Amino acid sequence: MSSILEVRGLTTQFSGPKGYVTVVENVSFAMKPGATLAIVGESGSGKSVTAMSLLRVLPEPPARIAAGKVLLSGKDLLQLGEQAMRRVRGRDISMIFQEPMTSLNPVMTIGGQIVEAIREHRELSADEARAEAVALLDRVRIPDAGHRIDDYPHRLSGGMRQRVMIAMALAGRPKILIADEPTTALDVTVQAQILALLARLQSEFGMGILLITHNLGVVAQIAQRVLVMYAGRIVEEAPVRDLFQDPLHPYTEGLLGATPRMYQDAEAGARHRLIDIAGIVPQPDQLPPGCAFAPRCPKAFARCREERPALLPTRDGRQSACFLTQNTAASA
Amino acid sequence: MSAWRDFWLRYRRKTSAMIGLVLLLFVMLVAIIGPWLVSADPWDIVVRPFLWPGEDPEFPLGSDVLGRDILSGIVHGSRVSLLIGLAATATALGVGVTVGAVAGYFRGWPDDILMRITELFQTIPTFLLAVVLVAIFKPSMLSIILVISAVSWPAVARLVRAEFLSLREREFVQSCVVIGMSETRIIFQQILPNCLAPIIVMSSILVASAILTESGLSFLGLGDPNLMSWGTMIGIGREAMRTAWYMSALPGIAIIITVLALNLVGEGLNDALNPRLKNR
Amino acid sequence: MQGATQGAGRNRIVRFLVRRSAQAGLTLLAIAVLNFVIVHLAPGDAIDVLAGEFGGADAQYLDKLRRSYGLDQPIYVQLFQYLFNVVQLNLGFSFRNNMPVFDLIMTRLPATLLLMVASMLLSFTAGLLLGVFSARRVNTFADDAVSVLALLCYATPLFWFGLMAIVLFTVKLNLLPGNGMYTIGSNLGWFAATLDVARHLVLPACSLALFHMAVYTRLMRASMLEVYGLDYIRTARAKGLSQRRIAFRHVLPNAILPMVTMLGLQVGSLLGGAVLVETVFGWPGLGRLAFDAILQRDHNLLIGILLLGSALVVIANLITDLLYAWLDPRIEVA
Repeated sequence: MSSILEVRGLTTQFSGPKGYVTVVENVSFAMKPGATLAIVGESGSGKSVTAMSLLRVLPEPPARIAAGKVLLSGKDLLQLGEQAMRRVRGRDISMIFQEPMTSLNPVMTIGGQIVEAIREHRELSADEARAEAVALLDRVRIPDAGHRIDDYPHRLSGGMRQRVMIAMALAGRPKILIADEPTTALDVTVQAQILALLARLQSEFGMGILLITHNLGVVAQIAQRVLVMYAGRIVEEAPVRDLFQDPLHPYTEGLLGATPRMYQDAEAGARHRLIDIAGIVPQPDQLPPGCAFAPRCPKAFARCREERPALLPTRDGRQSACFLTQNTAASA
Repeated sequence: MSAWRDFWLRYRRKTSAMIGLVLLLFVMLVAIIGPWLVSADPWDIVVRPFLWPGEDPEFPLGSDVLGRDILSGIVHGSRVSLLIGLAATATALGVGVTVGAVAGYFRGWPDDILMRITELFQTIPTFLLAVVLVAIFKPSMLSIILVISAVSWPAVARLVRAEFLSLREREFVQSCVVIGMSETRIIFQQILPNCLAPIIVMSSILVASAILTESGLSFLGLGDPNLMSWGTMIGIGREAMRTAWYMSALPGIAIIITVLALNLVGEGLNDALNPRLKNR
Repeated sequence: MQGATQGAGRNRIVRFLVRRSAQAGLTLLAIAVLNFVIVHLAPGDAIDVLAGEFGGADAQYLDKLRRSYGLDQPIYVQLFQYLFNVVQLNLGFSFRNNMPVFDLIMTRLPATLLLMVASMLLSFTAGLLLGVFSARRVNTFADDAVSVLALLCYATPLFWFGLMAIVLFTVKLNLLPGNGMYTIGSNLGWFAATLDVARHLVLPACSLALFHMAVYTRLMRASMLEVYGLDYIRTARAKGLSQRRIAFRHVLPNAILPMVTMLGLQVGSLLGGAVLVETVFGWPGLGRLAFDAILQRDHNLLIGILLLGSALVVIANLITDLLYAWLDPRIEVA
């Protein structure tokens, strides 16, 4: 099956006081139509910047996309002019964000904001667009959509607002939906509802979902393939089942909380699905010379601190950027 | 010491802030040593009236309707303007900081009462109030300083109150309360030093607006009758505006330069003291 | 159902207005007390203060003042007498103008309102446009140029600007009138007369607008830039909207809110500026009246103008609050 979206060597930088700092480096991946690909990592790993680079919605300056290709059905989005790129946003690729409380314009009715998205991409009259907006609100299960459409965002709960965001994202009938931490700001029960909604809409609309999250529980629920990012680079790529059963990269192990060596104290003996790794992600302008994860890695050895491991295929179509897994792969 | 160096390095980065500083130092220099360098008393009639600037090298900025030296007037006026600006600001800071600190620290009824009073002062048209007060209390250097500070303290009080309200919730203040430090010490030694930055920034803006207010008052004839101020000069020049507009124009330019310099310095201070906002 | 909610909404607004008007009334009463205190703090007998040195000799005037202030009474009685008079809009008598102060103020109010409204519209519109222009070109030469312009307007005394405008546009170029509100002795039809007033209005309104144009420009620029960084602007970009639509439909309506707050605050400072501008341009309004009162030492009139000026500010704040509530759906008028 051919890819609908293919990213090759994407590199994004931000200008800082001492020149440009690379925040996303040489990221490559491919998405199949109608499938769900997840990018996981801690905050500061570059996953959100990657997502926003695809749609080119980062503020430029200070950001700039320094290298790479983003091929949508073979067409490189990074080569498009602003005008052509606008027709991609919301029509080919839509995006929803982490903060439903602040992602809607407070002085515009939700209907106004959806209608605007519809009419930007489809030739509809004002009345038709409004009817379509009501239909979309229905599809995202907003009760009493016909009345709700004239409400301002502050009248809605966080979960309802995220539904509005999703309805708005669907307005242009996109082929791909980028969901950047779509449930992080929501209550647990609401999280489950939103995820279920996304899964159902995906099959109804047949769109691909690129899910950005730090929560492996969310990944397990709806993704088929997973990319693990650390300090701006992909460190592992695997089908979701393989990743959970047999993580290759020590960072992935840490994310899964599955490495017994990391849980020597009794209370942490249970299988957590939490991020529980000592230390924090290094600042992009303070990366160590070798593997960026080496300072936090329980398995690191001398070579890890001097040389950076490349992302290389291991087995079963998986990839990993760790000398350990590459060695075992080579010897096996 | 290095905090000062850091501050200076941040301040220096902005060209406009440096321009403001140079202008301000120039005006201050003129105010301090200028009156000794220009020979004439600004009120003395020294030359024929209506002498245009450049006509006579001895009086490079010309003379006014009575033949008084305009350069001398501007130089002496700089002293008046800066003095009134600084004194009024200092007084306004004294009142405003006290009121704001008490209201923000004790909250409750002192806060309610003091804030009602500040709101009242902010409802009354400021300049109009200044005009009425100076007119009733007779114009003099002292009354002008007091009146300008009377109309500018509410802004300080509101600022300091807001800072105090947020600072007093911080851990370091709470721990001072717990160890039983006296309230005066907490207010003056713990909290006040932490809200110095916005107060300093506001001060330069206050001096600028005090100078503008003073010039307006003296233009209306409500200046100290014994002092040659820039506003007074513009008022005098106004009589001959149709033929000799330079008489009003020159002191006005002096006001613009001084106020501009203070505003630029204020902005520079703001950027240098609040590094988190510098990218705005 | 719809009608019921609308009715409830109207009720809420009425309640809001009633409550705010009561607050405003209290504020004005407090300002009247403050006026009373000012008069009594001044050096010398209150009668000297009110009558000034000029009209002080006239026994009839002094009698009138003495009666209206009840100066032989204890101070608290005087205060109540004064407040009672104020409530009845009795602000005393202006001997110099041979007219009750309140009536005198009312005859001059329309000219000042015209000047103030004109310069408010001018400064708001110009500041809005310049601010939007600047924010959309942030950190370019054009942006810097606007910043320099705003800083200069900030630093320029408006009466000086008025004088220079008269020199240039009236004396040198002979383009616009620089004195008064209409051409004296002309007998014009209503259209020509309106045009005549408009021509007289240009220079004073511009002079008065200058400072606040700078205020609005800087405020609007900062506000636009702040809104540009907010999440919902990223949403708008992700929807594929054009830069223009984002700027005008999403950024501007949000960025304008602090500007509206400023409108209410501007009124007080405009009244002060009106004293200077009306003096420079001989504009027959409250400001000019205040200047004449200074010259004539008619302090009773000055205090009346101050009180009425404060009332204008209070009313303006009320209108601003309503306007804000209308523009920002998050404010539920309650």
